[in-house]
Amino acid sequence: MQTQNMNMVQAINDALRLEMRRDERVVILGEDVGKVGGVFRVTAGLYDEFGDDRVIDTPLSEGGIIGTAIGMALYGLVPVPEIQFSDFIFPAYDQIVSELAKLRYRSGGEYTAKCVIRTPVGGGIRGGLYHSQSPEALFIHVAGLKVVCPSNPYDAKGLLLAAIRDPDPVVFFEPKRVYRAAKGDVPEGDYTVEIGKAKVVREGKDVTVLVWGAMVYEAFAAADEAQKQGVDVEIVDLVSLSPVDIETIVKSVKKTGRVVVVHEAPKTCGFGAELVALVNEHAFLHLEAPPVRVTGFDTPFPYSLENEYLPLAHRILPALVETARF
Amino acid sequence: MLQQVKTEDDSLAVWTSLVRMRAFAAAARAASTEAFERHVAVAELAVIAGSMAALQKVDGVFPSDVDLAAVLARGASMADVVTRKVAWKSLRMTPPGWHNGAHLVHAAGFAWAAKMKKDDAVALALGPEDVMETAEVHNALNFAGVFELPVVFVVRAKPSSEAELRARAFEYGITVTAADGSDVLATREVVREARARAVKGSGATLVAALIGAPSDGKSDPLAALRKHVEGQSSASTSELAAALAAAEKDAQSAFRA
Repeated sequence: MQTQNMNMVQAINDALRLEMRRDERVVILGEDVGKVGGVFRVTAGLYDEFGDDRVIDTPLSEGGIIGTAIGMALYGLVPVPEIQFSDFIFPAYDQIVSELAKLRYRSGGEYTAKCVIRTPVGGGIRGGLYHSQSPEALFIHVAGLKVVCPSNPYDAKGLLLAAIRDPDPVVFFEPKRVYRAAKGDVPEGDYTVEIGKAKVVREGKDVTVLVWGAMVYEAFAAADEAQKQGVDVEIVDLVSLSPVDIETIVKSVKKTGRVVVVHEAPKTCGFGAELVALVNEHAFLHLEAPPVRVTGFDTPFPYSLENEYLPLAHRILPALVETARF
Repeated sequence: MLQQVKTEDDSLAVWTSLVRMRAFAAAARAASTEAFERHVAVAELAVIAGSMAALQKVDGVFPSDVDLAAVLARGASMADVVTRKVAWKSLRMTPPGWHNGAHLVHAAGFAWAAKMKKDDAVALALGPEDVMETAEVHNALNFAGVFELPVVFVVRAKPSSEAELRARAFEYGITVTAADGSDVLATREVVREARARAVKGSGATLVAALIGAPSDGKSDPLAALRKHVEGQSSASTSELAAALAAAEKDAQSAFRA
């Protein structure tokens, strides 16, 4: 298959275009997704190709967007609603948690509600407290939802195609910090990246880093520095947060005996807490050091101190070295 | 003794539907099965029966948490309802939601999909008056109005609330009509008209199905409907009695099981 160098925005756009051509049930709806092509231009050009019946500009109403998407799914369409920023997803939280996530169970398996909610996540644009949050844990906690977050264009395209073809609802977080910064070769045609599978993106023997989304690149930068200090870091890009690939995580932790979890969200009750609990449950006797979390702080996301708030390489590095030398 | 037919219509089917809903509700109360009892608003069954009778099979039905009985009008057996084995999808219905008002938005989305597919299907959303107090009603009416969706919202309301309902529908740019909610056939007619408008592309309708207090002295909707059936249908008194007995037997055995 031929490849093309793309950034993540282009890769996601390519996935949407490909799937809309392949499956006429797929429709996109959201704020400014049509004529404007989305605030990040992820849906650029789709309105022109597929028309206003399939790429729909909606009122500013996240609850309405998700609620009507549920109704469309019940009719047999495959809606891919966009929530412009994941910070705006909360007006739709009830529809997602109480309705979408529970339809299969509530209907005794009669309805599955195929629906992929795309939403940019995390920091990176100095958007402050209402354009930078990372609420993934709030959705991972909900039975009935799948939650994914790719870190690169290849995974973004393949994972989105897999998500749209999945019978159950998927929350698809897009790390906006690397929307354009992350580039790579992406196959031009059809392929999928399996939901539920993590990837060991850097092999090492001393410390395992569990990370996803934009922070994967920070983990790499920290790992390169740690290597200079004699610490050999293995990085696991989780890709899929729910279901999470516990097998790959445990295999890595059993190899290194040490684990550092990195995420942008606040530390308390972040997904890192669950990952540490899983490591303790499955690999406690293999641990040589206490698991460590390098995360955002338990504060609202700041405007001016974004680089202090985010768990960037300069904060990850000491955690790697100290954990390795514990 | 057989009564002679005047003209045939389908009021017998509507009467039977309401009889079965009433029997189900009574059995739920007798069984003190809270899970079902609270899902059946007995005083409002006439509106549900009338609304359901106005639909076609292709239409989708979105009941509120107190509208479980509507599924009986779609042909589900009482036993399946009690044992939660209803084939919701093939009945083109969703299970009653618990979060009041959320289903109104689903109805709008379903109608939107039907419109996109250019199908002659509409969505019917049912609910008591308090659905109009939820936040979700704004999303539902807003989307229905903006996109002229083929959806019919039937809200059971006090007569004193009619003016407010009319004002709200006007604000969202959707048609509003009132029906006498104690008259099953009149309700059916109003919903039928709303359905016809929706299919024609004229958008959504909010039907204010007006119901009085139980002590308002009005005649029982079921009795009034029976009177009509006896006048119009070929069914005999004994056949009606048999239908009534069958409904009660079904309901009792469903809850006994």
